[in-house]
Amino acid sequence: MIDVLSFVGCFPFRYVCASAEFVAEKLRAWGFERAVVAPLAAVALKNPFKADLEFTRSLGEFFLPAAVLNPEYPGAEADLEALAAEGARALLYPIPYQGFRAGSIKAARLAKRAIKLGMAVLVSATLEDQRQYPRRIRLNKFAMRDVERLVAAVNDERLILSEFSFGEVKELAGKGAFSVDIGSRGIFGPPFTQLNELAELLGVRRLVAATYYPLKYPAAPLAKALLAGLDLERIFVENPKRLLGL
Amino acid sequence: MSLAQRLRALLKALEGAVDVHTHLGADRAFNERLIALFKMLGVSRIYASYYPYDFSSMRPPSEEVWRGNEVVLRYQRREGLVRGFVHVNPLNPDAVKMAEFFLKEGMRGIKIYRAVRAVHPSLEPIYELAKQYSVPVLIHTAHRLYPRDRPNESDSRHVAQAAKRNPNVVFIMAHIGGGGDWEYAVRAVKELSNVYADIGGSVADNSMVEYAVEVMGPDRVLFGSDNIVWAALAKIASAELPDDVKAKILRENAERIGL
Repeated sequence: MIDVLSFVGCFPFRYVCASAEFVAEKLRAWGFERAVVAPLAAVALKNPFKADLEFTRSLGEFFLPAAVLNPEYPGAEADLEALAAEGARALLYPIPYQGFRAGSIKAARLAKRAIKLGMAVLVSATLEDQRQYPRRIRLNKFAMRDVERLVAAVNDERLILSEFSFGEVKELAGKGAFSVDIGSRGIFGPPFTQLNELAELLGVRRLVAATYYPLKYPAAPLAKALLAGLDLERIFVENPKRLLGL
Repeated sequence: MSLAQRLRALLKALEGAVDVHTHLGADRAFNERLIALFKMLGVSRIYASYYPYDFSSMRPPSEEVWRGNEVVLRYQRREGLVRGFVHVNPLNPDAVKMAEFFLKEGMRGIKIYRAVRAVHPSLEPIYELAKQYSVPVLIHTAHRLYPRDRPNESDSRHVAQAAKRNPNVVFIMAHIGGGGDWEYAVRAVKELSNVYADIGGSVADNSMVEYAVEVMGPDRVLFGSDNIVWAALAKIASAELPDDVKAKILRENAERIGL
């Protein structure tokens, strides 16, 4: 099984740290064989390239590194290519601490470049449950109109949306091709039909699963797929392999 | 262990469990599906109150609350799995009378949602009733940091205050995984032996249940789903706790408080 997005590192506002060894051990215990992983430290950096590079070089076999990049920073495309050459398997646009717009031409261009390089593009709506943010730290999600623009511009199933709610995913359906992380907190209700509706709306081939940040109990996405009666082999094995080019 | 074996183990993780926090509402098909799901997972009892979003407001009028509680009572009479918690809006003039009626009909607890916070004076007669009938009071709780707390939503510190004032009443602080700072929540009630916490809600952060046990001890953490069954299942199955502690969370602690 493959986890399409987890994070390694510490969060500035909560003592919820996860080392690579810790994440790998937790995931292995539930049968995950590989995981896309992003460096938490890079998420808040204006220019995360060096953090990405160090991180990518530090990882063992279990992990598939994700490059966290700010598409509006000069040289982002060259950074992406360098990271791809180092083994990065995905580009991640996390919640925009960096202030860029997911709907900008630069964001779409970098995402398309990643896909040409054989990478997946992960877009996350929020880093942790917003209800847990410190009150004075205002971290807006990507505006839905921007995500919609990105989806339309990229239009590829390798664009994977994480931590978007069921309603938001429904809104985006039909705007372009994309895949969805069923581990997202806002998916699978109640009502319990959400995941089945999602499978009908997008097709099971567009569903994958992530344990994300803070690391969810690894059985969580499995429990969702199991209770919804969905094809686990496709969601946890076949789809991520195809989308990540493995 | 193969994937199939892991999944079989996952499906058995809740066998014999007592879920102290569920809801049944106006949608009959939904209720039936939820009950079937719990049966499939081998859950032995669920404690249900009426789904608060099926009321017209957070402070529903008396007639609505009566009707909602009657729905739950009907399920309690029909389904061996279901036991009721009476939903109370303490601002209604007949709140005590209604709560007493449903407790006499066999409901096993009282549910307070967001009509008032746990420290509101209107709740004192309800707490008195809970003491008289030896039933727990389940209080919707969230230590929500962002963007702000919601009107009349009890924070864990409100639950702590109410519990201090009413040491002979058993309080269940609802869903530490319901959204908000769960670390704060369990620490706020750490010293209060009459406060229990249920692990329900859609937040399934790794180590949440272990942390609750570490702070509150293994005897005051309860299994609850708040209808988010996948999350409850994952939390129990993945939590790195000894089997005897899981057994306490799943049923023994609930049984000790009469559930």
